[in-house]
Amino acid sequence: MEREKADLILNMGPQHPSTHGVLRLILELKGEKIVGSDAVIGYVHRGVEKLAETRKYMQILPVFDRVDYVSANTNELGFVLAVEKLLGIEDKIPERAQFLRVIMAELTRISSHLIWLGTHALELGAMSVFLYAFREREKVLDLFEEIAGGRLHTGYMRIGGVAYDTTSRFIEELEEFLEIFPEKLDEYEGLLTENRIWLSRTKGVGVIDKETAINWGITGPTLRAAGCDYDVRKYYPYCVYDRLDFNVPVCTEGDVYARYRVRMDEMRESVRIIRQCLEKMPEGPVQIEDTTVILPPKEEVYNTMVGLIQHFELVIHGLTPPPGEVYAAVEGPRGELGYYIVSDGSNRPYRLRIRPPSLINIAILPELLKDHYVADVIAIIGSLDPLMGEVDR
Amino acid sequence: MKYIDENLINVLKEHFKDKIEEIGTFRGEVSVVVKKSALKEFMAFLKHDNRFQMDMLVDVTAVDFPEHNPRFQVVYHLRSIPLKHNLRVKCWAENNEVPTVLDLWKTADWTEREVYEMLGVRFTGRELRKLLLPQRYPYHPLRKDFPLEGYEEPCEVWDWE
Repeated sequence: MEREKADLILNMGPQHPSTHGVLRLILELKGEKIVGSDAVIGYVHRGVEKLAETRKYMQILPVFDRVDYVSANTNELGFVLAVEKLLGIEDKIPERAQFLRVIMAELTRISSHLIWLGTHALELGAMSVFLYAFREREKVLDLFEEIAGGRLHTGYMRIGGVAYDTTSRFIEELEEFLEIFPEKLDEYEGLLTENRIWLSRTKGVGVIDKETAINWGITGPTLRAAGCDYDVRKYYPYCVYDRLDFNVPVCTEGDVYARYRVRMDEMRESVRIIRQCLEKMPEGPVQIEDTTVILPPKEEVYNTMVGLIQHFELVIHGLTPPPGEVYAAVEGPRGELGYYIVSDGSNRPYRLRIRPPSLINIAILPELLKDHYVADVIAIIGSLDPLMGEVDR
Repeated sequence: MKYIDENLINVLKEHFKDKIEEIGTFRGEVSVVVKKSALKEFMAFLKHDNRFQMDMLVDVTAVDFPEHNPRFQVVYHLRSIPLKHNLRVKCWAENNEVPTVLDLWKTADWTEREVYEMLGVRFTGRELRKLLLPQRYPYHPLRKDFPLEGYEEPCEVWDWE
């Protein structure tokens, strides 16, 4: 392909406030117009996949909190589902744990989308949205702290269930949050949805059509904004999503504005999902009873011989799934987050591959940026919502 | 996750016969091992045939088996959005090379580059550059013989071009 000759080569990033981390773009400009570009990534490559090969299955979990560091719960959930599939115990997970997983995953989606909304609007010049969005995100983080103890890196999921049951304060605060949050969403939309500056910055910018999006493997809100209704929660339901009633928001325009619309509607759907979970959640245990999979309760470890032995066995030897390979995926806030695990029958994965939605979503950038103006670059990156920790792993 | 059913597996067996080395099912997931010489034809068939319509390449990765010859197995995860089924295609990389599938699915653009830098499998028929690592970095870190701590860092790999 013959490239138009560039007048100026502009280096954008890696330390640039609007590239969502350390993404470096080399832009070839003709006037204000981009005629070619290249993306340089890898500045926060930490070798997570290599690290995972040397850790026991239980030890890997906290590492994945830090892959996509603003949506720890969905990261953990994907991995936990993959290991459970490998062990063949998916059907034995208690129902209450499944509902709690869904609640946490949807809260994570809300908090992640709020960060996206705040920073994306900030980059395009709407300062106040940032303050509003982070105000509500704080409430979600408080909820995480209440149930799991951690705010960002919750470490809440376990292979075989979840770490803790709810507290009465958690339920109260969650209900309160669900009560006020839809109003707050209206507030954000009041600031942006019909704002003339917002419309002119986002409408018709960075258009990706459906075929292109599928061909590039794009998933998540970016794909749904292009008119394809693919959502892992609907196509391949995991946990209890098949028993919940929710819509998958779809737009057809495929531009930055459509992605904004899809994500805003997704937050409303998340509120609906959590409400239903609270209604339908049964009482019962939150962890599988099989102590070869999950650590026994602390009272048993300290007071009984059997408990101590089981605890010791599991900590020293770890889980040993049969040889084989599985792929399990969840719908993360950024798209399909998949885990491909190859097991050789030992207590460590032989190979573990994360399918990072951010990496695959931004691979289209060099092609997408062509013929756009420099100012649109920021709008486009923001709308794809990449998280560099996940891109580089 | 839904994978292709028995009928479609038989279609593949009939159509490709001995070009398929192995078809395995584990936990409901179907994996097909294809001969390298037939990989391109196989992938194009999956994409364009009406019974398969695999229009999305979910991921490309590779697994290192140091004891095995050829050493690397490249793994493709394919999905059909209209028919909702999945398939895993695997191919042994003889001479550490496999043909690229970039012309069929653009997803392969960055994922193949990552496999190349991390494991050293070359994809023929396309331009290959490293994706995450510095261009002059001499090792392939995801190989089993690469130590977790890495080697002492040779400073001249940093090319601030």
